[in-house]
Amino acid sequence: MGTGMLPGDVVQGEFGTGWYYERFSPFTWDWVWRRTILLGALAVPFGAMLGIVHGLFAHRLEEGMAVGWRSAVSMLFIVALGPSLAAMVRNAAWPRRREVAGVVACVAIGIVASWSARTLALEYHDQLMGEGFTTLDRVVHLFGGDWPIHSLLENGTDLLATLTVHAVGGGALALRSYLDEPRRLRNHAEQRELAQLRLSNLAAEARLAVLQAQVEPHFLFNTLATASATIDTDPARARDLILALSQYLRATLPSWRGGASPVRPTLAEQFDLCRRYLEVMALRLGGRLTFVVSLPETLATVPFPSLLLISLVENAVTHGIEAKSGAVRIELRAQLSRDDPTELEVLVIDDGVGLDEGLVEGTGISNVRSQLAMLHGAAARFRLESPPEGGARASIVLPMAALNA
Amino acid sequence: MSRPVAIVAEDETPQREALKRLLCDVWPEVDVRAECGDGFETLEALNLHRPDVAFIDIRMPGLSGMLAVAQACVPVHVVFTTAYAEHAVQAFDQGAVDYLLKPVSRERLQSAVARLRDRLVGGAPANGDGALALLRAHEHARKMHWISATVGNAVRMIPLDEVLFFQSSDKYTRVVSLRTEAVIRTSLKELLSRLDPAEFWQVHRGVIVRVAAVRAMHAVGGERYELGLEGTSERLPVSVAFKSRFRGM
Repeated sequence: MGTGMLPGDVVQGEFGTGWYYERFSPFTWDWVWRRTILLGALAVPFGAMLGIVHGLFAHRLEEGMAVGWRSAVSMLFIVALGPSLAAMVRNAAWPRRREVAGVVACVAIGIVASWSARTLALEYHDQLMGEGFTTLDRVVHLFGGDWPIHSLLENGTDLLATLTVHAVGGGALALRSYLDEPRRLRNHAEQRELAQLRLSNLAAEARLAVLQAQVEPHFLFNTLATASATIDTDPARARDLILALSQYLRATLPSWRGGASPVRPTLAEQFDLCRRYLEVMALRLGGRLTFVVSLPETLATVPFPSLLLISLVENAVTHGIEAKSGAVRIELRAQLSRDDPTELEVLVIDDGVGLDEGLVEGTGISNVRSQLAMLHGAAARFRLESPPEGGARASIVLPMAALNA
Repeated sequence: MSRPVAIVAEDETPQREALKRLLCDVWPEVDVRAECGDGFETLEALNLHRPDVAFIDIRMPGLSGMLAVAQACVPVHVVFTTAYAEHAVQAFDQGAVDYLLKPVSRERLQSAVARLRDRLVGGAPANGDGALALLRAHEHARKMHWISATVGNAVRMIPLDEVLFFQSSDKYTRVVSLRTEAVIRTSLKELLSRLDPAEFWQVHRGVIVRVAAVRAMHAVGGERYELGLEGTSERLPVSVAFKSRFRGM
């Protein structure tokens, strides 16, 4: 059992006060020294009090000091002796059963030994006072017989109180938490495993969603259907289409390129992906689609989250371009914002059917919005609108600093 | 029996031509009367030619293939084509209509044609109303994420989760969101039928609010109450009829 702080759900504590030392595993050195400082800070001054009281009553400073340090040390013994011995046992890394026996024995030894120390300290005080019963006498009388019953009870209660102080101070309560700790640790491990499993499930689902988003089935199968439809009548077109589709798929799924997927996709890569997609669409739509892709050289290597742009381009094609008969045009552009040159602006502009008023499902652009929010929070701005001149204009604005961070 | 009349609707020309060729090949007696490139042409052709059978792509410009069939209201045996079988397509299985996945293989088209022949002999054209109703219900159940409304002289997409309330005014409905304010011509009644009833409540004849944005209900004399919303200083009227929904607030 290692030292160090326990996970929150494993901490049980000794007194349930939430004191800092209770966050450590009981009877480890980390636990013992912090506990000794804390409880010692309460117990030692209490012990020293006896010396002060003694000194005041006896009017002898030296005698008071002698009683005081003995009493203080005996109090320190109560809180530190058993736990320290137990920590030595834990440190020895014995097998569990032997360790448990050792720790319990050490706590017991600590209680007995500190009791003896305390008794000696009090006796010293009693002797110096030179009158009344010594503590030893009290114990002898308690078991000796001819005391009236109420005295017996009184002394019994006294004894019980003393025993409680020694047991609690000596760490008997911490035994409960110590003995139960393996079970709590097991529970914790199970819970953590479960949480991790859930997390990796989520991650897997997210990856799958990304894959599905990357190769939109309508796009893939319609492209294949067009290739299949033209293969006899227009073999050159069918061939171009299949080539364009292959390039798109390679650009879309970096793992299909044979290399590891890039850790930080760049704007150039994302533009390339969109260009491939538009090439396929232009072939499919038989010349009625023209497109312009413009990315300044200076922005090519800017890191840019994957899939945002292609989602916007797909959205423009599906809802704006395909839905319109006749010639259509789409433009993809990246630039530094004119209003604020520290911001990057990426635009997808089409002259398709534009937006109709009303409620829209818009799953694709919802993904864009939530991905942007997840990656860049309020720093990112997304807007999709139909300008008065028609068509649609989607824009993503991001601070360059956020992208390069 | 006279030659069965057919139409083929598909927006991508090469695919449409290939489907027509294949169809004439496996069903020589069919008379393809029209080839349509979008939903409106399809609707026109259905009404004009009153075909016995129709091969219709679901996704088409202008009007979707399904809406074209629904609006035509002519009895016709419809075979839908689609590139990807979304959940909606499951509905076809329950109706009398067949559907084909693209690219369409000769074998699959042959079996669709065999079914169509049986149906033609049996009379009673299935116009797929049942399947369409199912599809409509499915469409209705889909969660809307955006509302596109007019801001200035542009139509802008506003995320529905940022919308605080809708309020009807003379000719329009005001859409007030966290960031912007827009107008839309859709009526509150129409909006209400498509908004998630767990998220939006009608609280007044002229007001629908986002429940989660409601902060407080204020008494403004007599039986009149107003709602205070998070994210706006505007107060909205609450009808007595709707007031009880906010009991305990």
